[in-house]
Amino acid sequence: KRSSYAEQPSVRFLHEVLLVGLAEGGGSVGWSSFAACNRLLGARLRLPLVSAREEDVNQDGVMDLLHFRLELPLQSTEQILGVQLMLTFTYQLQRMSTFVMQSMAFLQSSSPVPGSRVIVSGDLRLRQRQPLGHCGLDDRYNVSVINGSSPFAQDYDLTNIVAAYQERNVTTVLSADAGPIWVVGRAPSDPFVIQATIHYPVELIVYQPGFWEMIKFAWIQYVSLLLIFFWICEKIKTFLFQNQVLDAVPVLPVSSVLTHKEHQS
Amino acid sequence: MAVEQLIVLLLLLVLVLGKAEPEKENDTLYSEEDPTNEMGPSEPPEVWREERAGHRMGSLSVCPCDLHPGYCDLNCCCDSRCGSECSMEGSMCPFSFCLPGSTRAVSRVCLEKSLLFRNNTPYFTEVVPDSSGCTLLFCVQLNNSKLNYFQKPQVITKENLPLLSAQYGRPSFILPEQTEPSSSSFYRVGDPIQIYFAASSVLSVLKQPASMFASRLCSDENPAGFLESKSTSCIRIFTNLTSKCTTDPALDAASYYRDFSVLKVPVNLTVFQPLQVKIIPVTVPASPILNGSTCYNVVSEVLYEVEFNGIHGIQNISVQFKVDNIYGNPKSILQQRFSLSFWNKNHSFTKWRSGNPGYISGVPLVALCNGTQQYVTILQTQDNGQCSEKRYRILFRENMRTACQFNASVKLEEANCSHLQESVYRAFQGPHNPGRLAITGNADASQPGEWNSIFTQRCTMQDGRCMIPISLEIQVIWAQVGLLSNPQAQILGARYLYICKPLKSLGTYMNMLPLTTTVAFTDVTKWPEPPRSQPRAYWKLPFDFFFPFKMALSGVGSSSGSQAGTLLVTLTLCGVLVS
Repeated sequence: KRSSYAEQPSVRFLHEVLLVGLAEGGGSVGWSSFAACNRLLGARLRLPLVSAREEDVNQDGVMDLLHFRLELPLQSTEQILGVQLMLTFTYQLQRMSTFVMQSMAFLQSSSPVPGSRVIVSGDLRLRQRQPLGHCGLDDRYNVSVINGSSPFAQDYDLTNIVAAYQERNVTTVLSADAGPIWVVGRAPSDPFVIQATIHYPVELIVYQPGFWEMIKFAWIQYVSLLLIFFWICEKIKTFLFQNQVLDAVPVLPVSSVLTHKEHQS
Repeated sequence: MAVEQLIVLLLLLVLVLGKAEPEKENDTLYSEEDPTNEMGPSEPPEVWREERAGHRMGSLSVCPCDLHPGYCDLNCCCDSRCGSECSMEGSMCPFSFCLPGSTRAVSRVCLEKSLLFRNNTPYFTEVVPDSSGCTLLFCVQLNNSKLNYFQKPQVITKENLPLLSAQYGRPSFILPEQTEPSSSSFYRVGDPIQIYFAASSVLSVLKQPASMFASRLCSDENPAGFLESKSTSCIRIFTNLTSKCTTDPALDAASYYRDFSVLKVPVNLTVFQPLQVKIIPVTVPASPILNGSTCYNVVSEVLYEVEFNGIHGIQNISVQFKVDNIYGNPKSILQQRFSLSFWNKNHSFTKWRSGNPGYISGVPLVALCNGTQQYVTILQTQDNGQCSEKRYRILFRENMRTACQFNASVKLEEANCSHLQESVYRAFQGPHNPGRLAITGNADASQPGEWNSIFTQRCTMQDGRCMIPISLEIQVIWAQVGLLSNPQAQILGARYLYICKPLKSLGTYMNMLPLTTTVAFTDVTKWPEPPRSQPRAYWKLPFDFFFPFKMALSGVGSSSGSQAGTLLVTLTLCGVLVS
């Protein structure tokens, strides 16, 4: 049995960023907000300007969207043909069970023509493979998406990160129906710009209703039928005894202790 | 009666105001409308400006769109430079619309009108349609000094700034302080292996270059983890090989062992007593030499073998190299492989099982060939489409298909039939003809009971025509045995089935024979009968009261479902009759 409810999750950008720019000629440049990862990148590290701003548009205490902008400086000879960007968030639901997780938005986009900026505007949608609980605290997935303290390259491999993330039963995904927009033609002195606007929409959450919630509706269904049957049976009983269809012996109450039975009247 | 109504209204208001999350209809807390007909009888029109002005700003100074002092900002109705007409919503206003925030706003609390029976408050109330226009909202103007203002924030001093920032701080780009891992007196699994450059007295870690992100390019800074025997491979792209050949340390074998030594146990910088272990090259390789546009003696594979002894750390470390020659101008690509293998005096980690005891999915199948354990392999194709010397391994439970062109090396029309057949069979089987297949992943070569024979079905001669095998079908039957909670996969049997065609019917081209190999795994596991009490997958459970009736009427329900329904109805009727 499944039920669903709507809730706007409390989402906060964790300010963890992993960026890979695929350069012309098979090379790549990158940056991350993790010091260990940047050490691994060596000569391929490019230090960008990052800015992020979260907005609560309707002032209800829950953030509604994130403005993210990244300016990656490039040499005039370098060209970017594709980007892979990972942003991480904390995602919290609290109406039924308190569900806390660290989730990510992954953007991958490429173009056959070298670009100067990528603009994406989308929603951070919840993906459920199983219903959530109706009570309690669920922090199964409240673990880092990217292990930022690890010194090993395998922990920053996108295939490993995505594979581990997709193992989860509840994830978030960046859904941009229009897709990222590539702006081509970069002036040699300009940086490569990634601009993302990520909305945190109200989600319809599927959950497993508790026992009392189920019994409430079961009871309503039961009572509504019981009353009809009760009335019909009462009519039949009255008819049977009044017309003496069956043999019946009236028994007078012997003592006052005996309970009074309606059909003897 | 009137007093009661007022109380009801107030209660409703309290309910609405007390809510932490206002509902959708109540989002219109802030609206821009003409103040004159909205103000209550007891409120002067200046109230709003004073409310919004706050304590530090003087009244009439709140005009968020007045951004050019001394000039009239476009569509900014509260800008005093634009004249007073607009702020009063006069007809002489030159703007087609007013920017949000430039007209007077009123704090209102609204709720659906249908919730109210009667309004008899003396205060000003109004009924407005909501933004979608489908419901009417009943609105009261908010005149509560506590609710209309933000609370006064704290005064920031030198002392409470870090406290407040810690209390209200959210994740930001300010990096949290990283605690250095406490140095232990011995290596743990996964710890970086420390190295020491004696000449420059620099402490570093042993590197195992690997690919990172979604790129195959080498990342030289990847540390090697203690006891993590693994091999990594990555590529290097050279756009100017002639200058890099002799100068790039990544190409020179010496840079992987000379000038530094490995520390037996990790050290911390306070008590610096390095116990050094020299890296011994098995053969001393030559340095890269450039000749024309070809770079000779380039490192293509590095293999460190580390002998360790528990907490006593690294005892011995040796390194082997494979070198290659690369050429290419202007661009050349080199793939390098780096392996570390750890071993102990007592045992080595080199031998692999394919499961213990049952096969694990995705591991190679083990066969017995002339008394030695080998992996079962099938044909592999190389870049020109011909059959390669290398062969793919068959992985447990993975159905596969591969094909390649077999070079018969003689003209097919003139070939000796039996000789050709034999060479094709050999190509299918590979160098190690699998005689018997391991039943379990940990089969012992000395125990013949742990091996199943493979049924090989070769082609038979037909009417004296020369039949050439062109396709091999490997069928493996397996099943899960043992405990249901801990199933173990066993191979029950296998068949090598060759499909042949007469040589004449093959439309061959250039002495090439296309050979196909397919591998199919068949699961014949017999599951236990589920006990009666446990529900079966195809049972339909009653979800509502009408379920049994619906099932009985539609007549598609299983017998158990209708039985349950009859039982339910009987129970209901019994309950009614008894009452």
